Amino acid sequence: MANRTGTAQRPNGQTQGKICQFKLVLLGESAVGKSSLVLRFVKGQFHEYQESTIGAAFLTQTICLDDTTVKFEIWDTAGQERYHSLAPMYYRGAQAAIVVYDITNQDTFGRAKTWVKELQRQASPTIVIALAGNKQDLANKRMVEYEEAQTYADENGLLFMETSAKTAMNVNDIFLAIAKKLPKNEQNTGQAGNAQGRRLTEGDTGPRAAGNCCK
Amino acid sequence: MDNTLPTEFDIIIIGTGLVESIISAAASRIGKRVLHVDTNDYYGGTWASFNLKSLQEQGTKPNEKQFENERCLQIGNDVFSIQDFSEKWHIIEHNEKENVTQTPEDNEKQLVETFEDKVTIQDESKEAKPNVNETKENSFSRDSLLNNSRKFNIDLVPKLHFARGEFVQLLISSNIARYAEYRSVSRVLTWVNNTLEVVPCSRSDVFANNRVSVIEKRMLMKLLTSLDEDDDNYKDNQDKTFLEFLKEKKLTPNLIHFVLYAIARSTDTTSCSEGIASTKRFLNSLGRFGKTPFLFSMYGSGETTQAFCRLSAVFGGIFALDRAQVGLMIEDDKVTKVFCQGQEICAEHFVLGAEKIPKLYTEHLKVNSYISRAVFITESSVMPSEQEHLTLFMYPAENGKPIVTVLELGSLTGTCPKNLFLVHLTAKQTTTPQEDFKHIIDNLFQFNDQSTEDIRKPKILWSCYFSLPETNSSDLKGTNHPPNLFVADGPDLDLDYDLTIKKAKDIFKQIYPGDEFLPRAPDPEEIIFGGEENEKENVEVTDTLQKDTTSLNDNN
Repeated sequence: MANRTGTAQRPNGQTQGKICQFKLVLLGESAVGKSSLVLRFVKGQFHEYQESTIGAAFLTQTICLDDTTVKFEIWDTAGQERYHSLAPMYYRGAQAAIVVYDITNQDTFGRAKTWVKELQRQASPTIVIALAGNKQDLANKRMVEYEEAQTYADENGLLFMETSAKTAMNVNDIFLAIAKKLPKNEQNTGQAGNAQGRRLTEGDTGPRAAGNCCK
Repeated sequence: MDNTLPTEFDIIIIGTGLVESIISAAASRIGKRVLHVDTNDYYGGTWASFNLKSLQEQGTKPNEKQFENERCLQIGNDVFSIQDFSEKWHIIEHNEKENVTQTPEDNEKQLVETFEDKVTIQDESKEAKPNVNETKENSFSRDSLLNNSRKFNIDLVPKLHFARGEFVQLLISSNIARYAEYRSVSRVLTWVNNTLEVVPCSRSDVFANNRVSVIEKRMLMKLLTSLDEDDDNYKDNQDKTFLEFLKEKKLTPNLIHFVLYAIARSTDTTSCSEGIASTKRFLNSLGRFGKTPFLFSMYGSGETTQAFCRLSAVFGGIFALDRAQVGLMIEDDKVTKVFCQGQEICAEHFVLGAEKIPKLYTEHLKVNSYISRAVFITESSVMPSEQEHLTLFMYPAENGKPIVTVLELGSLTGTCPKNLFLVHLTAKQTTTPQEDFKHIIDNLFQFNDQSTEDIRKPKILWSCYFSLPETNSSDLKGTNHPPNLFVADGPDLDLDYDLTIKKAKDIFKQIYPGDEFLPRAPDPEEIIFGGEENEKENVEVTDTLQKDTTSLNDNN
C-alpha cells in the first residue's frame, strides 16, 4: 500500500512532494524492441540478442518531475502478441501506453496503427499514448519516414519520438514526455479512486489499496 | 509474420477456460514448456466475457468447422458448449434524433460521442446526484447500446469472490493479484414478504438496519458470533436441517430468512452442517475488503482466466488463439501430438477443456445438470440509491423454483456503460432458463416494450437466456479417453472459484505430483536479468510469507 501511494521521504527526512503511480503498457509487433526499450529505461542495459526474459514482464521505474515522483508500473506483453493472442486485460486500467514499431519495417508501423486504434476503442479515454519508432540506430535501413509517422501521430494526438534502445537515444525522453503529460492533480485521483478497482494484497483491511495517484 | 509454432513442448493445453488457464499458469511457473491454444479468437471458452455484439453473435455462431484429416481426431463437441441461446431487444431500433443516413462507421463514432456527452454532463456537474428520474425517457435505442457495445463485458459465468476465500488467497499467494482489480460488492439483498430487503452483513449493518428490532439485533449478533466461534457445539445437530436448527434458536421468521436464504444461501432442506459451513464461509470473509464478504472482478469474471494466462505467458508459456484446425493424434491409446493448423506438435501431457473433447468421446455422454442463465440490460437499479451499488441479490427457492443468484452491476465495474445496469441471473436448472426466472421478472422487473408500466420496476432493455452444462469430473469419466489426456471441467454453480481451483490443482498434481502449485511469483525488484550481477543470489522467492491474517474481526 505504502509503495503505491503517499508522500515520499528523503533520507534527510524532508518531504519530497507527491508520488504518482501509473500503469504503462507496451504494445507492438514482436521483435520491434519493446522489452529492449524497457530494459534500457529501467536498467540502462542493452543486449543485442535479448531473449524474452522469463518472469520479467512487469517492471517498475521512477522518475522525478519537479515536486512529483512518477512511478511507472511497466507491463510488457510477455510474448502474447507473438501469435496475436494478447489478452484484453493487459491494457485495462492503463493510464499510458507506448506503441512501438521498427523504423526498418513498414509492416510493424501498420501494426502499430492497429494497436493505437485498439487502444482508442478499448482503453480508458484519457490514456496517454506515445508512438515510438525504435531502432533509430539503423536509420540507413529506414522504411518508415519520420514525417509520415509524425503526421500520423499529430492526427491522432500521440506523443512521437524515434528511439534507439541500443544507443539509448530518446529512451528516457519518451518516458519523461509521458510523465509530463499524465494528470497528476488530486482532482483526477479523486475520480479515479471511484472508477478504479482495488488491487488485492495480503492483510489489507483498508477501504482501498490502490490508487493511481494520491496526495 | 511467421505464424509457425515451435513443435516440442512438455504440455499442450487446449481451451482457455479457467481450469485450463490455472493449469497453464501452474505448469509454466515450475518451468514446463507450455503451449496453450484455443480455437476461439477470445480467452475464456465457456467462462468468457463478451461485449454486447459478440455475445449476440454467440447465438448465430455456426458449429465448429469440420476439417479433413484422417490422422487426427478433431476437437470440439456440442455437449459441453453453451445451449439454447436466445436474445431479444425490448427497445426501438433508433431514436429519431439519431442521424441514420451516415455511413455506419461515422454513425458509430458520432453516437458514441453523443452517448458519452450525455452521460458526462450529468456525471461531472458538481451537484449531480445520480438522477434516478431525470428525463432519460426513451433515450436508449438499440443503436445507442450497440454503438457502446465494447463498454459491455458480459460474463457467461459471473462469479463473486469471498474476501478470505481460497481464490483470493491463491491470487495473493501466487502474486497473480497484481494483474487484476476488484470491487467490493456493496450490498446483499434478499426477497422477503414480497419486498426487497438489505441483508445486514456486519455488526454495523445489523445495527443500522431499521427493519430489524433491537431484540432481533441482539439475537442475530449472538447467533453469528456463536456460529463463528464454536466449532464443536453443533455436532449434536447433524441430523437436523439448518432451518430446524435456526428455529430452535428461537429466531424470528425475519432473521431466519436472512440467515437461511441470504447469508447461508440455503433452502428449507439444507442440512444443519452444510448451513453452518456456508454461514461461516460468509462470516469468515467479512471485514476484509468492504462492507460485504464479496469481491467482483473489474471488467468481468472473464478477466480471471486472462490473468492466469498472463502469468503463464510471463513464465514462458506460448499462446496461440484463433487456431481453427486443431486435432489430437493418437498412437497406441496415447495422445502423442496435437495437429494444429498443418503443424504436428508433440508433448507429454495434454489438457482439454470440456467443450473441446472430440465428439468420439462424448457420443454417449449425457450431461446430468445444467446452469440456467439470464442477462438483462436495465436502465435502473432494482433498488435505486444515491450512489451506484454493486449488488448481490439472493432470491430464495420457492414453489419448486431454484435459489437464484442475482448480480446487478453498474458502470463502475467496467462491465456496462454509465446509466445502465447489467443484471445476471444464475440458478441450477429445473426446467428452462425462461421458466426458472419468470417469477423474478414478474416480481421485480418489467420489459420496456410491455403495455403496462410500473414506475417502481426497472425496465429491461435487452434480455438474453442460455444454459451451460454444469460439468463435474464424474460426467467425464465415462469418456474413455487416453490416460495422458486430462479433461478440465467447465463452469459450476459455486458462487466463488473454490471448486475450480480444486479441480485445476487435482489435474496439476496428477501430472506433476512432486511440484509446488503456483508458488509466489517474484516481484519486479527481485528479478535478476541475464548478465547482470552474477554473484547475486537468484531471488526465486520460495517462502510464501503466508501470514495468517484471516482471523475474523469484523472491524465495523
